[in-house]
Amino acid sequence: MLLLAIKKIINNKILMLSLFAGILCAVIISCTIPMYSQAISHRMLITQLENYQDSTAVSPSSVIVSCPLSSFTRRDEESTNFDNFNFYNDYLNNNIFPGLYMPPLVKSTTLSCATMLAKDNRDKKLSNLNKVVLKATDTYENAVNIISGRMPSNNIDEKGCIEVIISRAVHISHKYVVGTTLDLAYNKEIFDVNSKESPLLSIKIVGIFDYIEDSYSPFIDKDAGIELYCDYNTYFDYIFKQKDLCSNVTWYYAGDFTQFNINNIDKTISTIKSLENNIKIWSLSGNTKTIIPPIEQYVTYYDNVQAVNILLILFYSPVFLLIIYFIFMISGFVVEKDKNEISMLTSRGASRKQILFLYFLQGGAILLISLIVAPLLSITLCNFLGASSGFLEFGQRAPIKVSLNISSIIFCLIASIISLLTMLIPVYNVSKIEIVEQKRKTSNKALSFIFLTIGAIISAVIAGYSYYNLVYQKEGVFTSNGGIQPLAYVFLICIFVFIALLLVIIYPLLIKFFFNLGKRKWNPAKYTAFSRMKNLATKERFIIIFLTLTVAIGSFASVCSRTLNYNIDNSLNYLYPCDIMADVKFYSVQENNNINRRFIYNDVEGIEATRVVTGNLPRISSRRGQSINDNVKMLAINPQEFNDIVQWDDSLFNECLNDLASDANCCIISRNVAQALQLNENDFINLKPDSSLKSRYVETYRIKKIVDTFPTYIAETKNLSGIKQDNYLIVVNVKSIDSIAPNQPYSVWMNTDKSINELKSLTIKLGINTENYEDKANIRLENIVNCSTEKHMGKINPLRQATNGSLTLGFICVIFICAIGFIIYWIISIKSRTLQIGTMRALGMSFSEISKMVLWEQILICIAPVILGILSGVCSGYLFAPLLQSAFDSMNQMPSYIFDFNYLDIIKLILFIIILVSVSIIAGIIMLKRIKSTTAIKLGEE
Amino acid sequence: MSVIIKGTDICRDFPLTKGSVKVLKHIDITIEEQALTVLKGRSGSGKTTLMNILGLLDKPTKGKVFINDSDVTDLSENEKDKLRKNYISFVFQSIALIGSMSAYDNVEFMLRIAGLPLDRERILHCLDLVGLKNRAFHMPYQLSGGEQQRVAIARAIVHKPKIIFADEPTAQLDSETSKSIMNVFHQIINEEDTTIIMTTHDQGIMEFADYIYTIDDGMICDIQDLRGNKK
Repeated sequence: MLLLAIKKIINNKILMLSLFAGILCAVIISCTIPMYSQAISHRMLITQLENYQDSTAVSPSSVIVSCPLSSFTRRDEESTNFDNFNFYNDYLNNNIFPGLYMPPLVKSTTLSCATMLAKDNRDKKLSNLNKVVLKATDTYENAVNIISGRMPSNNIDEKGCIEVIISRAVHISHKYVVGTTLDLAYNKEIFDVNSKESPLLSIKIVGIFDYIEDSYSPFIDKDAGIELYCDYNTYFDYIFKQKDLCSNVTWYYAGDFTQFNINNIDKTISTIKSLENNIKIWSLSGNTKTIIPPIEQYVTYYDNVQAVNILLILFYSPVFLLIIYFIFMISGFVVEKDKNEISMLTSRGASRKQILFLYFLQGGAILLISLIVAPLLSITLCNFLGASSGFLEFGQRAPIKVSLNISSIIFCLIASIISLLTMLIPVYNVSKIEIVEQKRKTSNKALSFIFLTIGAIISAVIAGYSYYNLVYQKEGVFTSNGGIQPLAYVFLICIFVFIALLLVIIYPLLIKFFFNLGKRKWNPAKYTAFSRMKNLATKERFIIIFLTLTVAIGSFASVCSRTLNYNIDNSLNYLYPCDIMADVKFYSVQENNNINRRFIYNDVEGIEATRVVTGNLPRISSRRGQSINDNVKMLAINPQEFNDIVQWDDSLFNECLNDLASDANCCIISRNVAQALQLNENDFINLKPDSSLKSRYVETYRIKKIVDTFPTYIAETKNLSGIKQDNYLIVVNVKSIDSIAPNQPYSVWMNTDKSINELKSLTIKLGINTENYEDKANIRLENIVNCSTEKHMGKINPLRQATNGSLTLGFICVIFICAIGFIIYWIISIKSRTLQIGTMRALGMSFSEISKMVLWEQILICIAPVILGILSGVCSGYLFAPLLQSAFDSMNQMPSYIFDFNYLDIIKLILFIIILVSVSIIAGIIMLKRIKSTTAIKLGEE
Repeated sequence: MSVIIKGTDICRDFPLTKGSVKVLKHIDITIEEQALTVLKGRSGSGKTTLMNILGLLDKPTKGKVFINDSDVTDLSENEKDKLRKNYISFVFQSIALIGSMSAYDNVEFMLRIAGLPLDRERILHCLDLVGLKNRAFHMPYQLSGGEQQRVAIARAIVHKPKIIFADEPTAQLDSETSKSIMNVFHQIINEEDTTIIMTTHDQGIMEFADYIYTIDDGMICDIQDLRGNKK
């Protein structure tokens, strides 16, 4: 049986290769879902961690525990500091640090004594005693650069002197040099000549060092005081263990999160939680400092993976359906070719199981090869898709780390089983038909039409019902707990099934109509083509459905992706219309609060900035007495500067700025203000920019425009309790505010290449270095929004990446199998009509007429699926894309959703179809040329 | 009667992996106009090959074919197509009707190929001649093998070709129907000045032939003139 199966595979090479391609696509798509979502989320995690590090200046993989040893509480109250140290040292070094699963960039333990008094033996005066701290760090050799002397050894000389090194700063400030000896004690009385007690320690300075500037230096606090560093082993054995003089310990670990293996994330999160809990239990007291990795950054990875997985499954559903249909179609072709053989086997006594097993072996062989090849190809494809920046667009992106995981293997196996079973369905259907019945079999066209019509009606009803519910529920495609509405799948699949069935039902009627119109006059080529197409055979129905679904899915993918990307980018540009936005806070150092909130960024090189006065709990009211006291966002702007800074291209926005520039007494308000206060354009509105001021500080404005959008304005948000609240907007010219209430709090919106830290330092400097430093205010930048980072994060949002990647991959798969399916169909179509074509040639039809006949058939096969596929794909994308929008930011859909459609994508799709048809025609012509009438007719005799 | 088709020294070899098989060996043949000529021979004798060559479906390895004294051996494909459209017609053993067209449409199709007006009366007349007028609008799958063959014959005669080549046209027909088809052939020969060349095994219809060529092992071994003129 195996040999027979292999023989059949060899005999049906082309069809088997097509089946292989289909199964491979199905397995690859399934395999990529978990791999891609994991890789994208991993990239997002690394980026988030890097941003965290940039904004907080703390590594997201740092663990710092710094505390007095006495602050540790243990069950055993008799334990010494040394015991405590060993216990917690073991815990951290053996459980926590390895449990983070990140290779260490720095791992150090620093022991230090309490502050002691140091008497310089070169100086007899007791009044010159300095406070010093004796320390040792176990991994500092590569963090210092000896500029004089040498590193301390672990020897204690005959006088009991311990060797230490000091930093350059200590050397300069206290004139300690190499060779200086110091005696250390807690009390200065010990240094008295008459004292009977000896100093606690004697130290000798043997070297002076510079700190090597490194983000991951083991030194947490450099030059916090006079610090003397001795050899760690000396400190541990002699000072700590023997003399019990160690009082503080600092453990510092920072892992390389860029090398983080995502498969260990569970364990990492568990380790961080364990450390968090233990630190609470320890109840460290005294001068402690603990820094643990921000667990919320790691936990969001899971949310991202889940969301991406779900999105990928959603988008791949119609593609997978199409691939399964392709497998079914090709398997049908194989069975069609083998029908006589199967019937003959059945007549000779072969059971259904035996026939199924024969084809199972064939399918199994193909499947096995697919399962070996698919995972490797999936990894390559995922890497390729990782570079996608939009639908069928690729850009420079950091590579993603793709690896095969258990989920991928499971998905592979599921896809394989479904593919194999699909392959066997046509075999099952024909395996019980005997040869006599096979020869008698005629198609029951009426029954097929009924089934198709019922199928189309059911699909349409289900699709309509699904869509109505998705829209009515207003949740969009995603549930509140992050799952996908099942109706979303149902809608997507049913809409495409309906479209394809509709075409199969209506198209033959349409062709019949045109056929009857022109049949008296048409030449043989056109006549034969129309005659064949008006009675669609099973093969033709297959290919029409297939082509329609391909084009529809391609158009849908293009429209969805473009619309989503456009709206996300638009939303990001709207919410983050410049480089940096921040509040400029003035803190008076004097007793009174009279601060001159001057605009300090005028004429700073490298910065283009504008002042946006936001007021202090502004209030607005109408002349009728109605007022809005909460959630009022006031933007008092310099229209010209605002226009220069803000990168938002909108005609209405430009009109608003022109209005404000030309008339300082007009204002722009949001629609909800107009509705709440029952105001229209040209009505008057009162604005009190600072609610703490007296009532005379109110300005009246004429309403010039009522708008729904204004850069950064969000009409509706959720408060901390999760309840929706309206936000009200009023935009005025800053001159009018300065005239009635100068010195109002303001934000600065700027465009600059400077980093946040540079801006922070610059702000402080500008506050201090002003020429008229009369008010003595400390000026700080707060609530900084790094718009560039936010926009970048928005662009690499894993959901967006997953959308673009999955739509791109899905589209490529669909195009690939469409090309194979289409060419296979034509090869089979021409081969199966060898006798007919030979007869036509014998009857006198020329080669060119037969070629035209094939061309007309191709046109008729393609034209309706392409037109309907494009229309249906665009329409279903138009319906579906807004539902997806909620996945990205359900509350902050500002500005309004816009449907984006690019004709070029459709033209690319049509171009692809034209290329496909051209290739098929060329293949067809080559095959036609090879058909000899005499041979063809002889085939018929057989 | 004049000669309408003449073949001189016709040889046809089919190449194999090693060597070739000589199917026709130096055949000289003349077909009289407006007569029914039968090529008789056992299976593999070369009669179908000879008919294909005379009907310009195949090219001889050696030799010449003349139609109306014109050498047609080396005509271009387009010229051969033209001849087959208007002058020559075929009835094949394998029938080969177009499955998506009814009997009527199949017959009409031949007029379309020939570029002739789609004369409904002529089409129905031809179908009537073969006894299928009341099955005119049935699809091929609704007809038996014999009925399909009769439609093929109607198709072959509808455009009034000068020469009809028929390869075992009565193979799938019963004796009664076969005889009626042979009568149709004679009717066409007489009424429409057609020449018919056919191959057959059926001894029962030899009596209808005007000329019988017996072919054996690629050579003509006997010629019978049943019109009384022995050659």
